Amino acid sequence: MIRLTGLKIISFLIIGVVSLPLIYLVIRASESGTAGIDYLLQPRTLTILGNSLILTAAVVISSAVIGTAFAWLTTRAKLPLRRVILVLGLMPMVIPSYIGALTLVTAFGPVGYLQQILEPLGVRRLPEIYGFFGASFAITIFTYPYFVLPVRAALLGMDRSLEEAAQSLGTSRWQIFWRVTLPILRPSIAAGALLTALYTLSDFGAVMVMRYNAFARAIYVTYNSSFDRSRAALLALVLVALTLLLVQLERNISQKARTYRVGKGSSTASKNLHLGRWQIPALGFCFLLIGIGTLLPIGILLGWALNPHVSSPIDMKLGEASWNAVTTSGLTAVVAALSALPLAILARRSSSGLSRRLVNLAYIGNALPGIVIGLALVFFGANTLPALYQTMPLLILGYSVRFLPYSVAATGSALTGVNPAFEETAQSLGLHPWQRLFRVTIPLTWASIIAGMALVFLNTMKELPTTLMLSPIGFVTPATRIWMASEAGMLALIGLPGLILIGLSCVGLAILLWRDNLKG
Amino acid sequence: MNLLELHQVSLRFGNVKAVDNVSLNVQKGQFIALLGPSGCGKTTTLRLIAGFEWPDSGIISIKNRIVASETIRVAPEERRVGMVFQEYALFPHLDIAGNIAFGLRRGDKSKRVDEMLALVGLPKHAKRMPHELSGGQQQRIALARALAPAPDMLLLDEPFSNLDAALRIQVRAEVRSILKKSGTTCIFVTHDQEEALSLADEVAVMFNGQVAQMAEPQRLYTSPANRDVAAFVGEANFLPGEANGENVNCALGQLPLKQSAHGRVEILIRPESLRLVSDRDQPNAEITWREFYGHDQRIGIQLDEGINLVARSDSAASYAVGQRVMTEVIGDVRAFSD
Repeated sequence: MIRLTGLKIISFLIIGVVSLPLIYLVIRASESGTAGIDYLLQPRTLTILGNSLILTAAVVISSAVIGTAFAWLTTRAKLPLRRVILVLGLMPMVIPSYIGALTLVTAFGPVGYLQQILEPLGVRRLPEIYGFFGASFAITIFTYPYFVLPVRAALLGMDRSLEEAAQSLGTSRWQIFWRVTLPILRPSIAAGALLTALYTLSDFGAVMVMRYNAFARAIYVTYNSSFDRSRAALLALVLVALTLLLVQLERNISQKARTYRVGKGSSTASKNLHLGRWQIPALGFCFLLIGIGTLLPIGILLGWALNPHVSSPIDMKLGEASWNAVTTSGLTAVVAALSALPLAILARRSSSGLSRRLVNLAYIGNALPGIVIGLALVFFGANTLPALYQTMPLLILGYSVRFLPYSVAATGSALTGVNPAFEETAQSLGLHPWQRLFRVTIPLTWASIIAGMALVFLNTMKELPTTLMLSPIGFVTPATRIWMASEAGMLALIGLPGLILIGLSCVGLAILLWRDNLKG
Repeated sequence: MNLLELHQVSLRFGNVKAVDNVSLNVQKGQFIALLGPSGCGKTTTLRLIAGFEWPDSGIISIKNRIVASETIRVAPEERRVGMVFQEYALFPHLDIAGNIAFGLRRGDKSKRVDEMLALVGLPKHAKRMPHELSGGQQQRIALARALAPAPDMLLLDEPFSNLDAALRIQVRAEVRSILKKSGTTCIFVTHDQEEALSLADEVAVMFNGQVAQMAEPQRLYTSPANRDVAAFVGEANFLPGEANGENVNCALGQLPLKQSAHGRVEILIRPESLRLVSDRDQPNAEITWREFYGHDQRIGIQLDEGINLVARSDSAASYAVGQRVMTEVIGDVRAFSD
C-alpha cells in the first residue's frame, strides 16, 4: 500500500475543500447574529419549513406506493413486454424535474392539453396545478424510480423459498405480501425513502416551476431579491440540518430493520405469478405511469422541437451549450473519480476511526442541495477568492462537491470487493505500492469507477441551481437555456435543448446498464 | 390407505423431461426418501407434491382428494402439506416464536409454539432471532414451523445438506426421532445414499426423471433392480461374465448366481463380498492401494487379468501394497444383462 501518511495528507486536503461550502455557510450565517435567530423564528420561515416537510412526506409516501408496486410487478408478475415496461418506467430518472414539471403544466395546467381535449365536454378550465399538488405530483413522477431500483434489487435477491415456505404454511398470496415480502423489503424501502426525501428537499426545478415555496425556492428568491444575503445562508443552513436529520433517521431505521439473511437462499427460480383478473388493472397502472412520466414529456418536447412556427428571438447557441455541458460534466466526473480514489483507499486501509469518520465527510454533498452549494461558493468566491468568482474551476468545484458521494460510494464498494489476498500476492511477488495500485487494484475496480463517473456525469448534466449560480458570464448549457426560455415564458423553445439534455443523460444511463450486464 | 398417490405424473422444462411418468404410493406414517443424483428430478417431484409446480400430465392425490390433474389445481396453501426447505427459509424478520406461529390460524398459538419448541428440544429459544441460531438449531426450528399446523404430510428438501459432516449424523437422528414422535408422514429428498438408507422406511431411486426402483433400504442394497441402482446405492464392483443358468464364469472363476441368467452379463460384487487371502499358493491379484478407516478398511486390488476391484474388510487383517493375494467371492452374486 502507498504509505498511509501521504495518502492521509491528500485525503484531508480533499476533505478540506469539500467542507468549504459548509464552513462558509456557517460563517456567513453567523454574521447576522441574534437577528438571524429572530429571522428563523418568523412565521414565514416556519411556513417554508412546514411546506418542505409536507411536500417531502407526500412525495415519499406516494412514490413508495407507486415505486414498490412497480418494482413488484416487474419482478414477480407475469406481464407482457416486461422489459420494455421496466426500461420505460425507469426513464423518468433521466428527465430533469424542471423539464418534467414544465411539460406537466403544459399537459395538465388549467388551460393545458387535457383541458383542450375536454373542451367539447364543456370544461373551460381545469383546477389550478400550481402549488402543493403540482409540486408533489411532479416530484413523485420523477423520483419514484429511486424507489424502484433498491426495492427491485431486494426482490430479485430475496430468497424465494421464504415466500414458498409461507405458502406451504397455508398463507394466501395477499397475506404473503404483507407478512413476508414487505417486512423483508423494509431496509430497501427505507433506502428508497431517503433517496426520494433528499431529492425532494434539494429539488429546485419542480418547486420553481410549480411555484411552491419550499426551501430551495425560498433560498433562491431570497438570494435574488434581498440585500441581506445572510438570510439565504440561514435558510440554507436549516435545509442542511434537515437533510442531516433525515440521513440519521434512515440510518437508525435501517439498522433496526436490518434482517440477517439466513443461509444463501434457494437458487431455484420460482415461476412468476399469473395475475388473472388483475392483469388488466396492473398493465393499466404501468402504462399510465410510463405515459405520464416518460412518453408525455418526451412527446411534448418533440412537438415543441418539431414545431416549424417557433423561432427564437435570440441565438440559442445549442451546439456551444451542448459542448459546454459535455466538457464540464466530463471534467467533473474525472475530478470526482480522482478525488474518490484516495478517500476510498484510506477508508478501507486505515485502522483509525478518526480517518474513517473524516472520510465520511466526503458524503457531505448528499446533504448539500445544489442551491446551498451554489450559494456557499458564491460567498466564498465573492469574498475570499475573487479571482475564482464566476470561473470554470469554481463551477467544477461546486459540481464535484455535490456529486463526490456517488464516486466515493462506487469506488468504496468496489474496493471492498477486492480480496486483500490479491494485493498481498502482488506484494509477495515484489511489486511496489504504486505498481500494485495500477496493476492490481485499479484493473479490478475500474468498472465500478466508470459507473460512478457515469452517475456523476448524468447528474452534473441535469444540475440546474449550481449552474445558475456559479457559471461564468456568458456560459450556457442546455439546462440554463431551458431555464432562460421558461423564465421568458417561451416554452416551445425548450423542446430541442430538453431533448439534447435527455439524450446526453441517456448516455450516462446506458453506461450504467452496460456495466450491469458486465457483472452478468 | 394411501395418503399420497402420484399417477403417471410428467413435467417438462423446455426440452428436458424433469419428471417422466412417475407413479408413487405413500402410506400414512411412512418415511420415504427420494434418492438420486443431482438433476434426476427428485426435487421437482417434491415441488409437484407441494404444489409449487404443476404437472403437464398425470394425477396427484392426497388423502384420496385430487390436488393436481389436467383440470384440477389445488394451490400449495390449500394442501395441508408442510415443507422444510434446503436452506430452511426461516423468516429473518420474525423471532423463533413468530416463525413457528406463522402457519397457525386460531386457538392458543403460544401453547402450540411451546409444544413445538419442546418437541424439537429448544424450549428456551422462543425470543431468539433466526440468525442467532446454529445450523442444526435452525433446521429444528424449520421442522417445528412446518409441523406446527399439523400437516397431513411433511416434505423435506435435502434437509441435512447444509450441515457439516459431524453435525449431520447427530441432527439426522434427532430429526428422525422428532418425526417418529409426531407420527407425521414424511418424504425427503437426498443425493446422499447413506442418508436415504439409514433414515427411510422405503427409498425411491430416481434417474432421469424416472423412478428406477422403490424398495426398503436393505432390499435396495441386496437386490437392486438394475445396474444403475446397484452403482448408485452403495459401492459396487462390476465384472464382465458369461452366464449359463445357475452359474456365471468370470475372472474370479465360476460363481453361483442369485437369479438364473444367460449370455453376456455384468456381475455385481459388493466390496464386502470380496475376501482376500494372503497365504494361499495360487494368488490371482495384487494389492494396489489401501485406505484404513479404523472400523474397516478399503483395499484396491488388480486381478491378473488387469481388472481393478475394491474390497472392504474389517480392521484386523493387515495388507501391504504390492502384496499378492488370492481373491474369493462370498455368497451368491447378482448379474445384469448388458
